[in-house]
Amino acid sequence: MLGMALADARALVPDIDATAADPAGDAKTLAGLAAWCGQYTPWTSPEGADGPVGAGVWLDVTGCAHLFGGEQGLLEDLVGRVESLGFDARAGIADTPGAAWGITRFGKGRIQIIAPRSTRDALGDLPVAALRLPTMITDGLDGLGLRRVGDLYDLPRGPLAARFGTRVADRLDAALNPGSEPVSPLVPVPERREQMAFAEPIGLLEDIERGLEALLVDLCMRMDRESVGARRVDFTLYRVDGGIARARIGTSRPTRDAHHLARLFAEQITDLDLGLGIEVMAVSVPSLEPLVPEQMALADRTQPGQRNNQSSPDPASVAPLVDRLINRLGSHSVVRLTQRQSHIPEHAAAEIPAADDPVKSDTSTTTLPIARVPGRGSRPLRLFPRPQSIQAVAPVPDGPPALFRWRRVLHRIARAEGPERIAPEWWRTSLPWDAPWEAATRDYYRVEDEEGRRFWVYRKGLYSGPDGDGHEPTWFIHGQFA
Amino acid sequence: MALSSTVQELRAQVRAIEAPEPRAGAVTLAGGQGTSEGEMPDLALGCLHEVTGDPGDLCAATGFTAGLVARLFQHTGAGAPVLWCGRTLTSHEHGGLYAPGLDEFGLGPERLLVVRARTDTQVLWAMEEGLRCRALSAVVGELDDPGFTPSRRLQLAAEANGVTAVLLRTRSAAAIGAVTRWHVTSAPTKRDSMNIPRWQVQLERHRGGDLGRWNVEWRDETGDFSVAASVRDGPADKRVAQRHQSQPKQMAS
Repeated sequence: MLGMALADARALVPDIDATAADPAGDAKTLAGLAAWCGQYTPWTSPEGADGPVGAGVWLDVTGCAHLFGGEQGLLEDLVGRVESLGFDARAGIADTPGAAWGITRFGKGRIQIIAPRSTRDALGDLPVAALRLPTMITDGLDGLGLRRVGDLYDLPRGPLAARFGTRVADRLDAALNPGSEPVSPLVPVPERREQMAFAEPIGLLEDIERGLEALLVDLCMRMDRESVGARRVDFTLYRVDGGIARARIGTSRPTRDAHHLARLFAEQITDLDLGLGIEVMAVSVPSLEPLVPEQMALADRTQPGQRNNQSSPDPASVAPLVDRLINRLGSHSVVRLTQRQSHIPEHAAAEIPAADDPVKSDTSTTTLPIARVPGRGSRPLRLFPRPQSIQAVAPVPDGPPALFRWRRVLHRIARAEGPERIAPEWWRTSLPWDAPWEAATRDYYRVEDEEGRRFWVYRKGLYSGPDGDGHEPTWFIHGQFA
Repeated sequence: MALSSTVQELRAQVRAIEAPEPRAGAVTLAGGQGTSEGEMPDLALGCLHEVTGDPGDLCAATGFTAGLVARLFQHTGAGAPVLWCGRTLTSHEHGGLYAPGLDEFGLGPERLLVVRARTDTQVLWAMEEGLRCRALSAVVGELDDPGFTPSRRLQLAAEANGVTAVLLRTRSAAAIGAVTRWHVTSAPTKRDSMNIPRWQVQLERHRGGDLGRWNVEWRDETGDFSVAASVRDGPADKRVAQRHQSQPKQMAS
């Protein structure tokens, strides 16, 4: 029996099997079971993991019972499958969660169904513990001779609340009145969902892909009728061993193109762990966005290899490509390079994710146009993420280097332009480079060596005189020109 | 002799088989009149090209590639963007593409999509996906050594969809079966300012066309290449050295 002490249990059954309790593991298993029950209804939630009367799962099956051949059929299927996973299970359906809880644990029989609007009669014979009251209160009620739920029906509420608090009345009302106690689902309930169940568990990749395509086609047809689109789609597979496999894709624009979504899923399906087989698969959309119907182009008649220069490739057709790249390589792997309003070279360029609109999302530009850097061709084509240190020989105080050594190669300079002085931003009190200010000033030079390679080097710091503060300037290479 | 004419006929037949059919057309690289050095050939569209450089000179090859895709972008018109796929390792080793520097090639944010991948396989996959999307004007990939089979796949994908692919080889290695193979090295600028980049470009392989070597500059105003006069190999320019001999030198580290 639940709640018995170990010594008492050993007294009854001497060779009982005792293992240490694992509350965290139990809670995790219960959550997994609640997620697995998602194949009956998306509205599931675990409960009572640490309660004295055993743990359970809420399922809100409003409107779902007919899919499984009625409430009796649903419960028999559910209990049978949960028992085949290795649990001892009982199930019950009622108008309210409180009544279902009570009838499941204290009713007679493995499967209980309380017909609608007969909750009051069905609960009347159950003990008061069926109202989810703590033992202190049930003992108190027992001492007063109130042992059945039916005894509480007609009692005045005032003295009851004075003695036991409001909990008794709250639980009674919750059990008898539908809608007074909502169940919070474990996973947010999606807005649209399509589901497919298999008579035999499937495990082959092609079968899963075909099932997924069928589900996506149905889903997209529904979205088409409602003129909405999705930006995120979840694909959930329920395994025979009680586990769940999930895949999720996102797009940069709302879409209801089943083919495009299937291609996005194709990358992730191969990585899923299917266990011993899949019984049920479902696609769901967490949130919908309006999507105006577009005029589709006529069938593309260009021959392979020809480009129809008259038809303009609209930016919308690059979006599927960007979606595919992002879903496989990561959300920050496809970017656009923009310029920013800053004279510091490493801040003058920024990357914005390609999924965003390049014009609207470039929040760094103000109403001022980007100040053109002095002269065309004065910025390198490639910039190192961090400037690299070089050894240079240059005339003091501010001549360009005559030669420098970088990566063990000596470069003799044939031509140089500069210096271009870039000082740190005086309006910052804490300098990004080392203080003091003179030591952080950079003098940039464009140099070309004897072979014609062009580099962007700078001297960090200024040469001070013989009585200066002794900071030795250092040379760096920051980029290379084309 | 009858024998030599037969050989000529056979040669013509082989050339006709080897040359790619001009289904997709070609884009001229160098506008303006050709010089006495000869003109650069047109770049065939809808196929795979290869640009290599010396190990320490990747930026010259990058500049030439940027010019090629700028020409391809202008030719396609209608604002179809360019996809540039590279590895993060390349940007750490040689520097990443810098937006103000791309300005002179006209490749602003609405024209260039940059993909940053971790491995060569991902770069190849991204290139193939880009080639299958016909809404691009060109696809560029930075790779060490793609291997024969992947490059063949890129060639077939480029032909099937009419999008031009350019492989920028970060390490110069064995040639793959591209339609053209260019080798780019830096060349000293000969003008008053260093603004106009200049390279020595050698067309090493050209299926069904002529080879050649040119000194090429990129013209920002007209947005195309221009073939420049040849560089005379001579002693290094001593102007800089003479100017600084009179000033005291200080060793800087």
